[in-house]
Amino acid sequence: MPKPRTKSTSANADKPSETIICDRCGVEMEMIEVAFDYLSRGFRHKVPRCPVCGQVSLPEELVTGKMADVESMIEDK
Amino acid sequence: MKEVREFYDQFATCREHDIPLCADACPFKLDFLHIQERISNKRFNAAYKAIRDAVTFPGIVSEICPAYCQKHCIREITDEPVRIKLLEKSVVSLASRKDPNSYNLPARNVKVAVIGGGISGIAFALKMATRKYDVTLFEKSGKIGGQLSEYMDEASYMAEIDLQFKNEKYNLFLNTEASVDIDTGMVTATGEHAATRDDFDVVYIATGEGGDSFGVPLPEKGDDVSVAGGCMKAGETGIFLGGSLLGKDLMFALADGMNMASAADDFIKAGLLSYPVPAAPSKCVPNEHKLVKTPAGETSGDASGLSEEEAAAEADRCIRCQCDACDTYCDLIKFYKKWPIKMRDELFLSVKPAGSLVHKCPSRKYIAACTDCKIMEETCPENIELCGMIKAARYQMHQAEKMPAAYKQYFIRDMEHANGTMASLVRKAPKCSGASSACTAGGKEETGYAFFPGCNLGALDPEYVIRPYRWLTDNYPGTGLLLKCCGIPLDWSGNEKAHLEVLEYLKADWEELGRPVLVTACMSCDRHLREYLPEIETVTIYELMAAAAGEVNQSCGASGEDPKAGEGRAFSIFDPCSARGNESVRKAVRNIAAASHIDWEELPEADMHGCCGFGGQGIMAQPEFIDFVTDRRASSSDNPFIVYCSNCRDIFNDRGKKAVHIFDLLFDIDPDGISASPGVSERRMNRSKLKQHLLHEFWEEEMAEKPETERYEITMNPDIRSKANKLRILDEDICKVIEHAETSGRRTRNPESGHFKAYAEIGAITLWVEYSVPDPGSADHTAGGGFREIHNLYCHRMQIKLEPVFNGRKVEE
Repeated sequence: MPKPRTKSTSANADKPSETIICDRCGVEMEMIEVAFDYLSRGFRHKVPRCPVCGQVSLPEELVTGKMADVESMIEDK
Repeated sequence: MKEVREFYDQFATCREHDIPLCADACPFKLDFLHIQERISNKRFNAAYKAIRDAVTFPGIVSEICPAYCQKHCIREITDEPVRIKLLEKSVVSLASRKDPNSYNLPARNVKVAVIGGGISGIAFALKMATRKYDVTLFEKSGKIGGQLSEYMDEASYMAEIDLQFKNEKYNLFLNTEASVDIDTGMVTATGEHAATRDDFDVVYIATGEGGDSFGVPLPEKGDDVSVAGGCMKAGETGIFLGGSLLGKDLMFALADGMNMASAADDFIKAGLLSYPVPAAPSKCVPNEHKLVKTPAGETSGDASGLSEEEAAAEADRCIRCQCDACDTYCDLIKFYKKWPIKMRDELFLSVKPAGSLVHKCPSRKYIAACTDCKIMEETCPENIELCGMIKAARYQMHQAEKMPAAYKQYFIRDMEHANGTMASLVRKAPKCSGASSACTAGGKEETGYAFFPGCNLGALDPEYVIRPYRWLTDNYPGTGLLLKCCGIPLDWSGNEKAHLEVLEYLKADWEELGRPVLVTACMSCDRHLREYLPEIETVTIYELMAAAAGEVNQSCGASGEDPKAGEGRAFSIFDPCSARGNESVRKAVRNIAAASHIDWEELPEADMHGCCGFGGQGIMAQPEFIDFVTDRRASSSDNPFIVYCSNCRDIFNDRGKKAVHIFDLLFDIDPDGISASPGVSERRMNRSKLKQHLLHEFWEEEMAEKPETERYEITMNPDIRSKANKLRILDEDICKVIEHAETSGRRTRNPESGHFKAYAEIGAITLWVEYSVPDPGSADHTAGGGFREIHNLYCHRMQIKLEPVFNGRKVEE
């Protein structure tokens, strides 16, 4: 199995809050950075991702919480 | 289409910053609103400080001012003016800290002479001494104060003068006659204390009524500010005139002393020599609606003024006059707490091209949220077209691609569905089948009408279109049908090109029907058509019904409805914003209601209100704003509303305000207003059902188009269903996510619950769906279809940017 591309140093940030399995690779998701883009502004954030294929799984708390706040802030800028 | 900058200049006349009329009449332009707030909060020391800053000698002014302000108080209409003078007097007596501020500034080597120790000269001397100039005051009599002694006792005013001069020093020469030479600027003083000839930098001449101006030209009397005079330069000396010498009464003379001190300061610092220009008269428009009869209370009888409670109560009688028509009526201004000038500046900034150095876009949300109800323009006393400016900004922002596509996506897709083959229908009148009474009578001629119910009415319930159309074909045989969206969502999104295209298609359909008069049922469509397709003549169905008022009940009864369904209920008629000022249709609706014995009353503000909340893209851009608007409208009466725009019915029901469409009562569709608004997917089904029904009933045809069957049959509990509706997520979107997950394998699994989670981009949004497969072994499932149970869904507008290659492998989207 290829090694994960990004390794986190913090033990807490390494683990998603719940166990999620990538259905294709059958491995547990880890906290790995992914890029986001909104209204021509880009940023990166650590989210649960499959360390093998890079598939992303965003929890609802993140989407309706922090992400919604950032979206709203960008719309106001 | 006008551009944003073309509206810019209109705001020059905005009265937002115009001071109230009381302050305008005040010699000191004392901002009473400032003081009123402090008194109301019983902050008497702060109020005292504000008064002193404005009038210099509060102890004198509060005693002898003739209260010009009170003559302009709007309260006079209702009871009596706010007793501003008494309040000032009370503040002076209630304040405990009256010592003037002490400023530790170095003395300046600038010599200032004041000729005349009346109130004007003293005020000038104090203001200049506070600025640490070297002030010398020459008074020909044996005491200062001049005319003051005629109005109040000497001990009182001297105490006040001493108090305000507590921290300042000046040289006083009593019994000294002084004069100034206007060629050299030299001041000659003769008297018991001095016989000098001295050079000053500034001389202020306030020699009182009939006094000597020593040859300095007087400023023209009256308000003509352009005429020179009142000040001059002699050698290096600046000479200024002021006070009663210029025929001003005591309070204006005092104010003069203060104003001329500012002018003299400008002269010293910058060499500017100009006589102060009076401000243009305030055009503040007081809001008389705020006046509630509250007579002034009885005073406690104490000569020094009111008690703390009495003063606060008296201050609260002030309605704080300010031109606030926009804030009163416009929901946008009220919600965002941004007044028109602020909005103008933000709009101007926001429409800069995307590539410009200024890339801020502060007005994005409210441009999208504006409901386009146009009430601001109609109520603004200066007719400033803020609504037009916002609309122009919307078009320009769309052009510059600065608007989030997520705002408009739902509305545009909904419009596309309404105009698509599954919902739209353009037909000439059905042939007379003999079923309707009109046809059997054979007496009525074809009318050249076509019914244009709009896209929302049938989406709410097909009966809203079927029954009125039945009525129309009975009463106006030959009425065709144009079942399409009017294109207003494109106007709301600012997409000019697509908007014009849709209008062109609509026009082509209308021409195909033989250019009939369109009978509208939705007031938004009606206004939109009149605005953009003026060649199309429209009439509302309500006007036709009112014209046939006698027949309304019969027709309603013909299909078994109770024509008096609304009887005994108390309703308020809610006019949609798009019918504001359209007296013909407003009257028609009331006539129909009366003819049908519906018990109704007017709203307190009649039609002077904004949108119900449906207009614009606020539901997506700023849902809190729409809640605010709908609640504001809903609270204007406890009665259930009778509405005659499908959009109003839709949004009120959605937000828990009981509202019936007038069709509910006339055609007995939902007279109690109990059915909930359909969900987003159901609305589409309703439109298809409507088309199917109409074709069948009126043209005896079957609908050729068959709805696309989804690959999956999805179920979800009511909470998730309601969440999907709130997020405007269609079942087909959910199916798309599942299909993408199951064909690409890109999904995750929670080992505990066994639920899958996957996402797909649906246009501008990314939709996440958590689901399970109830019966994985079924034949359906193995064939890639079958039941799916939805456990959760949520979406975001940000785009996830996956790397093209992850971990050395190509990433499939």
